[in-house]
Amino acid sequence: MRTRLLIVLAIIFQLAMFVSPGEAQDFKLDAKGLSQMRFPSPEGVAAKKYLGLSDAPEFTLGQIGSEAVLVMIFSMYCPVCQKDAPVVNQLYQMIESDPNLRSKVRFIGIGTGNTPYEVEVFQKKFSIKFPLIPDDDFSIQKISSHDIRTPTFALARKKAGNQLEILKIKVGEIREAREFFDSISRLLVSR
Amino acid sequence: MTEFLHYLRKSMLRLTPLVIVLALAVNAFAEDFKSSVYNPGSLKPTDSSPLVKVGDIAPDFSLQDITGGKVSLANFRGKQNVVLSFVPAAWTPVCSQQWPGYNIVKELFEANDATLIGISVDNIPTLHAWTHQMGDLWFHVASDFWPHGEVARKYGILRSDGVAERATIIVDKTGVIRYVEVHDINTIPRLENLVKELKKLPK
Repeated sequence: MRTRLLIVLAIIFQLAMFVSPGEAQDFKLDAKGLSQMRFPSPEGVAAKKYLGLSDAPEFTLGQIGSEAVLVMIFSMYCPVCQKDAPVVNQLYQMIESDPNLRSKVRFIGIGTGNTPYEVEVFQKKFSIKFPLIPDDDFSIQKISSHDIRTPTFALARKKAGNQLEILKIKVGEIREAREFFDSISRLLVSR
Repeated sequence: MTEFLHYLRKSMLRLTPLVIVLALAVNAFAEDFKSSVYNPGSLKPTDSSPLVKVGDIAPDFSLQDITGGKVSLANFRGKQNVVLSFVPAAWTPVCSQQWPGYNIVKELFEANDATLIGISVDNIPTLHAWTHQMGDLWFHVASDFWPHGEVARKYGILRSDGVAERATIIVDKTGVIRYVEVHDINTIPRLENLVKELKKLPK
């Protein structure tokens, strides 16, 4: 009897290891704080059009003209972000070529601790097609439960009054665009 | 019933090694992006008195490079401008990002006929492990480990705890120092400032 109990406990312990990749699981962004953050509007006409923004110098994520926003928090300096950039581009292409998803979600990058110049370097170097916005003074850090590990991805949906509801957070690189694409699809489309 | 339990126990026992292996693999995977970076907290912004200034001839040095060779400042004389990027230590937050940033802007250096030598007081094995996770670096990474911090000391940028300042020094093709910046150790120097200084170099 005791052996059986030990075996069961051992298996439970082993299974528990599967679902505890450190602090990544506990990382949270404050939805209200994220809704209130003001970002400098992108300069380009195409970027403004993609995000559905007016000509105002600043914007909030809730003002973006789609049902949901996929936010990539990155840094030009982060080697993991650099390595993941082609996968991120692939994900963007998948979203844009999906008839169900393309109208529902807009992809945006926030370069935390990056100046406009540094964000532009990243944009050009990796031919990122969606808008990248600088967050020079690490503002997004202030609404995070832990130190932000870049890249971190957050999928947020708009509610009444341009408030955001966070549907999904992924700490660390995407690695597999298809898998990530499917997970956003499930959250936004098949309901 | 007993037979069933016996079977269950047997099959569980058989599965256990597999589960252990899988669990370890998953953990190793998680470990991969779990930060290896050590956070020393906020430090005194600068902690040394520079011994070099703009207009001086840059003190020469010959240091071991992570590729196994030596890198000497004198070798670039008459050939290329050189940016010396001293960083305090491997595996610390700001340093772990500064060089990867430079790594994606090789063309900005080349456009100004400049190369980069990254220098820290860490030894070669540490620098090897640390820079390995940054991807392939196009620039020299040199170890100022022994005599400890000798080059940093010659430039007057060795801090009292034995690490170098986060300092950027630009040496032109004639060996003359054109720019000295001892940056706050806690923050990353802005890329655009470096590019601005590179553009000022005599053509």
